[in-house]
Amino acid sequence: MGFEPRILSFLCNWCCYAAADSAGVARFSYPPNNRVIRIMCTGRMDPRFVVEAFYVGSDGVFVGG
Amino acid sequence: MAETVRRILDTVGVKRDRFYIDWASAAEGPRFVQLLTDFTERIRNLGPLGEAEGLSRERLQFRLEAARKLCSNMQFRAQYGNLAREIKKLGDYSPENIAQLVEKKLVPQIRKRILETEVRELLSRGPQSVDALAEATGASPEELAGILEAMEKGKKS
Amino acid sequence: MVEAGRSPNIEILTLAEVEALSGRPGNFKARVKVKPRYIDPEKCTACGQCMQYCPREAVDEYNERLDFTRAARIDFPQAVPTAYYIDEERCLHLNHETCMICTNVCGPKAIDFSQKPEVRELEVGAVVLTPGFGEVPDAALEKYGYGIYPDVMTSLEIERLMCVSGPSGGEILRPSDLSHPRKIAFLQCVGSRDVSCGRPFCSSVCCMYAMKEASMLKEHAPEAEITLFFMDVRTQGKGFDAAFERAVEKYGLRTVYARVPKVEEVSGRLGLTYVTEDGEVHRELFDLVVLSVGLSAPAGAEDLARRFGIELNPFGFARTSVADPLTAKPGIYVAGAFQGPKDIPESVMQASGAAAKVSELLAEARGKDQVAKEFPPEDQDLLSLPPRVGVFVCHCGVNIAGVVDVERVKEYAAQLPGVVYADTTVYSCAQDSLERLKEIIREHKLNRLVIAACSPRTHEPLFQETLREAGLNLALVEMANIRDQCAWVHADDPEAATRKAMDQVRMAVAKARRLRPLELQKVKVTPGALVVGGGAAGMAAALSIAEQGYEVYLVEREPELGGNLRRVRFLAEGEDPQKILKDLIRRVEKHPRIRVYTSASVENISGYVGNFTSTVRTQAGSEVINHGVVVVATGGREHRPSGYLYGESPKVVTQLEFEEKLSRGKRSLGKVKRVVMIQCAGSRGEELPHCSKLCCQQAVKNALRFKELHPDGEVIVLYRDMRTYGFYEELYREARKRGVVFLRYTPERRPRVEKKGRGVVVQAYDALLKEEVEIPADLVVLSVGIEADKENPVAQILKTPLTSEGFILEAHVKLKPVEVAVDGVYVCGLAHGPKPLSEVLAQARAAAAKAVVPLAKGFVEVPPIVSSVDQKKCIGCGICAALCPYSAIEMVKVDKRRKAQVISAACKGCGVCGSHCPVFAISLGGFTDEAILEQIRAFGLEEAQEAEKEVEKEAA
Repeated sequence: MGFEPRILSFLCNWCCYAAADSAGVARFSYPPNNRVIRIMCTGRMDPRFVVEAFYVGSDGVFVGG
Repeated sequence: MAETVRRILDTVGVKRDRFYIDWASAAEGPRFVQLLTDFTERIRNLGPLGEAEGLSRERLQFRLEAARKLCSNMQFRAQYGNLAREIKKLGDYSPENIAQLVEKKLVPQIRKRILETEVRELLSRGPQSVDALAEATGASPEELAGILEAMEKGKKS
Repeated sequence: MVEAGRSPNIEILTLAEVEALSGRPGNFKARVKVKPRYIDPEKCTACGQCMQYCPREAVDEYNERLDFTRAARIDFPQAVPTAYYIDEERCLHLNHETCMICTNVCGPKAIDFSQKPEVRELEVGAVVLTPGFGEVPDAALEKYGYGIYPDVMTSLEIERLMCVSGPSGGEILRPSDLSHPRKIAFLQCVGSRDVSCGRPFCSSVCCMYAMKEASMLKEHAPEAEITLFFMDVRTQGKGFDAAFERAVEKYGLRTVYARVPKVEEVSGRLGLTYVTEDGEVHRELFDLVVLSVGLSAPAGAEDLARRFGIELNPFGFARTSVADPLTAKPGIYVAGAFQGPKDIPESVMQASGAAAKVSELLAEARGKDQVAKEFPPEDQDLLSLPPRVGVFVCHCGVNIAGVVDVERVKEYAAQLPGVVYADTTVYSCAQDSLERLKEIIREHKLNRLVIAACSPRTHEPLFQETLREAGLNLALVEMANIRDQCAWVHADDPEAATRKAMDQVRMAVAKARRLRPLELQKVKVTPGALVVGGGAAGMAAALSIAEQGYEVYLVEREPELGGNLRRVRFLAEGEDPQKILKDLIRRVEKHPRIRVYTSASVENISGYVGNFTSTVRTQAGSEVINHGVVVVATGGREHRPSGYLYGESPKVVTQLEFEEKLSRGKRSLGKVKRVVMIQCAGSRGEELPHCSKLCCQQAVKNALRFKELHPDGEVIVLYRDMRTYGFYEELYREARKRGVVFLRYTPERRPRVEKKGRGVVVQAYDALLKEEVEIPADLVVLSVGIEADKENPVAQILKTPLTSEGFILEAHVKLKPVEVAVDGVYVCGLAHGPKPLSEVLAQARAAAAKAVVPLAKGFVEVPPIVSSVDQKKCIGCGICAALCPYSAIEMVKVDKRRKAQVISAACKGCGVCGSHCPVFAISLGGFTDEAILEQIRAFGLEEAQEAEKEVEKEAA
């Protein structure tokens, strides 16, 4: 089996999180590798969160504003 | 934030491509799908964390641990916060400007603090040669000399 | 439905009928007959014992007569009220005085056969009629073999068949042999656009729902081949064209332009014979034929009209005017399909609009008999316990359970640390589930909840309210989005989707354990509205808000009010648009509560719902105004196409320009004998991606007008799909009757306008002749569509999301059609999307109704997602105050030391302060550092578990 990356996404409630919802409503599909943490705004992002994500073994970190 | 994260990743040897920030508005479902699909593909090509970096699991954990300490350090955070304040004051949010300021004001701090944490940790495990320290942290001899000197001073005072 | 059921200000009378109405607007008396339910809804716990033991079968009307039910029943589990009833026509006891098994098995003793019909006199100020739509007559269906061949089904039956709780458990089986149909045909316009059954109008919704059903059928049975037979594809709503095209492509749906005349049986299959536009005859066999049935006037409409003294149109729908599309007569309003066939977003909009009309009428009595919803005090004992998490995994019908293995997710959740209870629910947002949720909270002493279901963006408020009702703090619930961001987008990989759902649940549980109670804040509201845009939409919204008793500031960019309506000369409905306009302007200008600013612009809007401050610039200078809400009615404009020789030849004009000529009479037309109209000039994929909804009726209307002036003149309309939906279809029929020629073109072969000698000709492809034809034209009229103001400054200031076409995006197409993602901001008119005047005016009232909600309440409850500063930790560096984009942090002196302090009402919860605080002194409600870090760690756990397994394996 090929390598399936584990990706952690931090999504802004008003933008990317909403876009992700609308992608669902429209029944688009995309790879199931990401896991989502909802934040109210990308302003909430602390560099610590990204470092922590890699520390616990994430292969990639996406921040969606 | 993003530039700082990239610099921290650079310092600890994690490929900066593993971190990605982009924007999609609430109406842009298809764009979100594209961003995520592309990013997943990029990470798939990079392979598991550590592999593309040539870092073992332990080494990776060790180095990221130092980065975690950095991110919780009050002095570093104050420097980081003050830089953000300065950028806002200037009103110039261009990537070039931010990159330049981070390079000038934060990168030396990031390197110094991370390397220092690592050296301390390594030394606490027992005596180490300077070469071994350089090997483990990726620091230049000059940087190491500086750190060790500072530590000596710290002990005396 | 759930919300209406929960409101203390709404009394729901089911099994009831209004027998008579007397009195005047503002003071009606309604005599209502309430039929007995035979089960006391107060006592009924909806346990279902009565139905289980009821020996008497009954045809299940709710499931379109595809199944049997019992005399004692509930139609569907989410019904409101969530209580069973007894069918008096079927019940053995009521008809034969036997049985009474239900009485014996009912635990709470809710069965009451002594109930008698009750007549109640209600004192009401206004009436809103929403009886919905009725069925098409059997004769219209029989033509297609319905009732003769079992495999001819209606679209409503298919809808039930696809439902998990439907008669076949969601499996698509054709009735004749219970096999899976491989070839399925959808026949459009059954009981619509059909003079022979008295339904000449278009039902407006069937093209879209057929596409939806076809898509869902393909999800159920990917191997099925589906063909849809259209006369025209009428997907004129906002974003509908794009959705339709996407579905056709994604699901490989075949669309054929042909009206199938009848259905025959051919050795167990169904044969369709049809003629395509090139004149060729085809014959094809199908396994299942779905009749896309139209919307008729509701049964008993005449009776209803008589009792309420209102007028009906010739087809039995309520008659209203363009100027006042929701009023049947003073004090009696209509909404939804009873006013004409329409879809859900429009019905919801009309319902809000009707509420605005009622609120205008009854403004004086506002709040008189209002009951405020009370919540029990928070259960401190429960809150003081260590976190006890309850996890609810929602099926959402098939939406989630069709992809994600919800049982596995539940099992997994049950063993996570801190979880003391885990279960699945079919629809977690249904009234009965919410009641159960409260019971389980009490029973298992839960003090943290995780709902694995849809998006917190739409449903978190509902669960928060339920928590409050259960005596818990609203902030103690976390949602795992396993529908919108999981089941729906990973439908092709159920295993991966299930694992993702498990991860998201684990992360949500981790966060839930860290959730802390938060205080809901109340902020006072400035009782005024800013309406931006003085066209028909803005004026109608302003008038409604003012009539409801609030101050309005109406800002118009141009020197005069009126917007696009100033250029409209005729209406398809026959009313005089200029009279409507003049009337609106007169009423706006003399209204004591409306201040009009013309030649004005809004320069700045700051603040938040309830407390906005704006700067309005006029020629006289700037003025600062305070208001509680904003209505955006900034309009749209006529598109100017490139090509078609527009602007190059005086013989090429737009519909509005043509209309202007027509209004000046026969003379202004000169020697024009032949008019060629080109529909979708620049629209639907050329320069504008969208359909502008109103150009087809505009073209037909102008064609008829021209014919009136020039009975010998010729009009040729080149079109892709004639979208004269609803009653506009009548005009289309009329135009054909008067000899207007309609020729369809395909997007690949759009017509071209060329110069020839001193005149112009139109080159078009004739499908029937199969060749390019040249049509000399005295005048070419382009139906150019409506484009959005891409640089809409108000939208930019307010940061409202826009669609890709530049129209303002509503917060939710069906649930919040006039609200915008930014709280306290509402939208109506062309700024929302192209639509005809009557719809604009209805929508304007809907926006007014929604805008008045916070004004009437007098306060808004601000979600507690705001920052707070731990002043013990704060070192007074001021970084947060400098970075806050909303100036919501101020530096104050506390015991002579500088400390940061948050102005909660201004805080938007972005969290930039916290992420830049050197000493972690700031935490954001609901999104604390601890909670997020805990989520990140929970994300990492899976890997740790995997690693452990590896180790175990190796050891073994």
